[in-house]
Amino acid sequence: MTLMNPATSLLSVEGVFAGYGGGDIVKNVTINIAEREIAVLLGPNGAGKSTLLKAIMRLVPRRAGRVEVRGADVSQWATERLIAHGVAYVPQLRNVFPALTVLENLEMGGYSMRSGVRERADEMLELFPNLRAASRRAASTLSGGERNLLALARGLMPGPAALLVDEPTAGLSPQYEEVVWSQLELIRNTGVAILVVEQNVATALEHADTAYVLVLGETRLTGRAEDLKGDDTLTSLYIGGEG
Amino acid sequence: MIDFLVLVLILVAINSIVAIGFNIQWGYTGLLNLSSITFVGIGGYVAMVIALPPPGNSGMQYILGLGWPFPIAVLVAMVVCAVLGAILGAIALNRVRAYYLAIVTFCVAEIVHQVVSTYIPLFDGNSGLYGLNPPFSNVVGLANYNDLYLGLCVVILAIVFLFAERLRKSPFGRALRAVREDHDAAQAFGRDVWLLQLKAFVIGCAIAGLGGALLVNFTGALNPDGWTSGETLLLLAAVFLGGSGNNWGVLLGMLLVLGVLQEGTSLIPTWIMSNEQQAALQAMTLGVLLIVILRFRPMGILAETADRDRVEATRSSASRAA
Amino acid sequence: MDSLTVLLTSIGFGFVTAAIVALAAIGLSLQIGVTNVPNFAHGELITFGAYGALIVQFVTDNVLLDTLGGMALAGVTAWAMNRFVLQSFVKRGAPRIYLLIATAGLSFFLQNLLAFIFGERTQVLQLPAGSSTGYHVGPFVWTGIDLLIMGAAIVAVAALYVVLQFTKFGKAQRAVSNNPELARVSGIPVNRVINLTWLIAGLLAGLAGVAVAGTTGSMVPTIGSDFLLVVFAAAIVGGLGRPYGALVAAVIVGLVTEVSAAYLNSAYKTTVAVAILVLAILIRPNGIFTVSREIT
Ligand SMILES: Nc1ncnc2c1ncn2[C@@H]1O[C@H](COP(=O)(O)OP(=O)(O)O)[C@@H](O)[C@H]1O
Ligand SMILES: [Mg+2]
Repeated sequence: MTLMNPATSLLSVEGVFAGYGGGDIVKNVTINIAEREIAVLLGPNGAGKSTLLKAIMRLVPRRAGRVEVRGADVSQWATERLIAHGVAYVPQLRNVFPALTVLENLEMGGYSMRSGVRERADEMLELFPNLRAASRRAASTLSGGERNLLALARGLMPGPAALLVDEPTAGLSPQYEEVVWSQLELIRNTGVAILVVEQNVATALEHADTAYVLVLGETRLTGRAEDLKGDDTLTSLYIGGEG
Repeated sequence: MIDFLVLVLILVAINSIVAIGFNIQWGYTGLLNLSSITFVGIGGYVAMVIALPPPGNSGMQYILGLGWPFPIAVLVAMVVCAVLGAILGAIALNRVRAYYLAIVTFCVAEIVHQVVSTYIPLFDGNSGLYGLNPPFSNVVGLANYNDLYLGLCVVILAIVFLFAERLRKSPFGRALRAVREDHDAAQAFGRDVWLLQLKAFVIGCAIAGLGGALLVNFTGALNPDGWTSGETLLLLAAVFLGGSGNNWGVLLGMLLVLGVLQEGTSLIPTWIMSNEQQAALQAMTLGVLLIVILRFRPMGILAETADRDRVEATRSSASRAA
Repeated sequence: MDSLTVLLTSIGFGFVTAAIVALAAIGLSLQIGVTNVPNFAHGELITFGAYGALIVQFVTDNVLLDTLGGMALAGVTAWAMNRFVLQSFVKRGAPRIYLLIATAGLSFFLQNLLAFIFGERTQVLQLPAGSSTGYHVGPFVWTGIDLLIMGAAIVAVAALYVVLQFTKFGKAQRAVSNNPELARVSGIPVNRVINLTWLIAGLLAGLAGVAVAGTTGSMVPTIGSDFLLVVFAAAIVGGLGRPYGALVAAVIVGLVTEVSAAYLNSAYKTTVAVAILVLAILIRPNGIFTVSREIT
C-alpha cells in the first residue's frame, strides 16, 4: 500500500494540471500506485477522470506536473515512448478495432513486441476464456462485455508494468461487472499497477486497494478502499459536488 | 494600356461578385462549395438563352432563345441558380460536415460540365454559345463601351458588397458564424442548422449566377472551357489570400490574384516562354499560392474582424435569429 | 455484328475498364480510409503514372520497366505530397478541410507542371509489338494490351489483399483506418503507416495511369483528371475507406459504362458512370458518403 508514498510507487503522478486549451480541467492531482495495487479513480461525471488518464498518456497536454514510471521521470516523454516503457491505456469508448478479428486486435496490441506475439496472444486467451471461442470473429460482433475484455487484453499484450483503464464496466450487467473485476484482480496479482476509473462506488471499493475521488478536477478524498466504505463525505461529494 | 487595365478591372469586378457569393458560403458559414464556378456557368448560359434570339440558322443549337432584354436575363439567371442551388444544397447538406459537401459539389461540378459539353441541344455542347450583343450597345455605341460596362459592373459589385456586409452584421449573419464555429453547439441552441446553411448556400449560388450573367454579357460568348475546375481554384486562392469572411479581403484577394498574378504574368514576353507555358506557370503558381496561404496564413491578409471573443454573444443572438 | 456479339464485345471492354478503374479506386479508397483525407490530386497520380512510363520509354522499350517507372513516379509523388505538404498541415493541427483544399491545390500544380514540361499536346506511348492482336478467351475477344492490363490488375489486387489481410503492416493499416487514436496507444507507428499507405495508393494509381495510356497508346496532362470522376464514383459507391467495396463498384461501373456505350452515343460513357454516382448519392446519401473508418 503506497498511498501518498512516492518512494515505493511504480506509477507516480505529482501535481498534474491539464486541459484542452481552455483552462485546466485537471488541477493539481497527485496519485501514487505500487506494484500489485489497484487504485480506483472515482468522481461524478465530468469531474475530469478520463482527462487525467489521457493527460498521463500525454494524449491531452499537461500544463504542469511530474509523472514517474518505474523510477524514471517520464514527464517529457511522447505517448509512443511511454507505451514502450510499459504503460498501457485502455480508453472507455472505441476501445477495440471493430473490423479486425479478436486475434488481430491482440496482435495490434502487441505491435511493438519484437517476438512472441502469437504466444502472448495465446496467454491472453488463457487469461480471458470468454474471448477464446470468439478469437476469429470480428470485434464488431462482440457483446459490450466481451468488447471491454478484449480492450483489456489488447492493453495487456506487451506485458505493461502499469495499466490505465477507463470505465471498463460501464454499461455491463452486474454479472459481467464481476467478471471484469476478477480479471483486473488477476492482472494485479501478476504484479501490474492498475489505475481504473469506475462509476459504481460500492463495487469499486469492494475490489480496489486504494481510492481517489475527483471533483471538478481536484482530488477531494483519498484513502484505503476499505476505510472509505460507508464514508459519508464520499456520498456527499457525489451528490453535492461539495465536501 | 488603359484599355487593357479596363478589361482586367471588369474581370476583377465580375469575379469579385462571384467571390463574395462564395465568401457567404465558405467565409460566413463554413460551407466549401466546389461547384461555385458551375453556377457561374449556368448563370451565364441561362442569361444567354434568355437574351439571344431563337437559334434559327445560326448553326448553334440551344433551348429557349427568347430575345428578352438584359435585366430580365440577369434576373432569370439568378433565379435559376438559386433554385438549382436549393436542390443541390438540400441533397448535399443533409450530412452537415463541410467535407461531405465538398465532395458532392466537386462531383456535381464535373457532372454538369460533362453533361453541358456532351448534350448539344441544351447549350450547343462543346462549341458553346456566342453572338450575344452587349447590353445597351445599340444606345451608347461601342466606342467606349468597356468603360461603360466597367461602370455597370462596379455599381453592381457595390450593391452586392453592401448586401453582403449588411447580411454579415445582421442576426442571420451572426447565426451563420455560430454554425460555422461550432455546429454542434449551434444545434444545441435549438437552431435549424440545416435551414441556415441552405439559405446561405442558395444566396451564394444566386450571386454566382449574377456573376455568370454579367460575364457573358461582356464576352458575348461562353463555352465549357470557360468554367473549369481551374476557375474554382482561382476563387479559392483569392478568398483565402484576401481573408475568408472579410469582404474587403475578398476584393483585395481578387485584385491580387486575378489582376496581378494572372493578368500580370501574361505580360511575360513570348521569347522567354510560350503562351502555353505561361498559362501552365500561372496555374502552378496559383496552386502553390493556395497551399502556402493555407499553411502559413489561413486567415488571409485581412483577417475576419475579431468577433471570436464575442462567441457567447453570437450564440445567444443566433438562437434568437432562427 | 449481331446483337449478341455487340453485347459480348462491350462486356469485354467493360472488364478492361473495370480493371483500370479498380486499380485507381482501390488505392483512393484505402488512402481515404487510412488517412481520412479525400485526395483531389488522385487524378494527377494517374497522370504521373502515364508520364513516368513515357519518361522511362526514352531509355528503354521494355514494357515491364516502363510500367514500373510509371508506378514509381506516381508512388513517390504521392508519398512526397503527403510527407512534405499534408503532414505539415497535420503537425500544425490544421482543420481537415484545409488538407482537402491543399490536395486541390496540389492537383492543379501537378497537372500544370506536366503541361509546362511536356506541353499540352498528345504524347505517344509505344506499345509492345503484337499488342493489338486479338485473342479469343471464352466468348470474349481481347487485345494483348487488354489481357496485360487485366492480368496486372488481378495481380495488384491480389497482392493488396494479401498485404491487408495477412501481414502485420496491412493489419496495422486496417487498424489505423478503424481507429487512429487507439492505433496510436497500441504502439502502432501511425505516421509510418500513413506514409506507406500514400505510397501504395500512388503505386496503384500509377499502374492505372500506365493502363489508361496503354489502351490508347497516348496521353495528355489531363488524362488522369478526366478519369477522376469515374474513379470517385467507384470509390464512393463502394463506400469510402472500403477498398473491397471499391473493387466491386469498379466492376459495376466498368461494365455499365461500356455496355451502355455500345447502345448509346459513346460520348455519354462518363455521363453514365456519373448517373450511377448521382443515383448512389440520392438513394443512400448518408451511408455511402459516411467515411467509413473500417476496412472490411
Ligand atoms: N475533447 C475535449 N475537449 C474539450 N473539453 C473536453 C474534452 N473532453 C472532455 N472535456 C471536458 O472536460 C471535462 C471533464 O471531462 P472528462 O474527463 O471526460 O470527465 P469524466 O471522465 O470524469 O466524466 C468536462 O467538462 C468535459 O466537457
Ligand atoms: Mg470519463
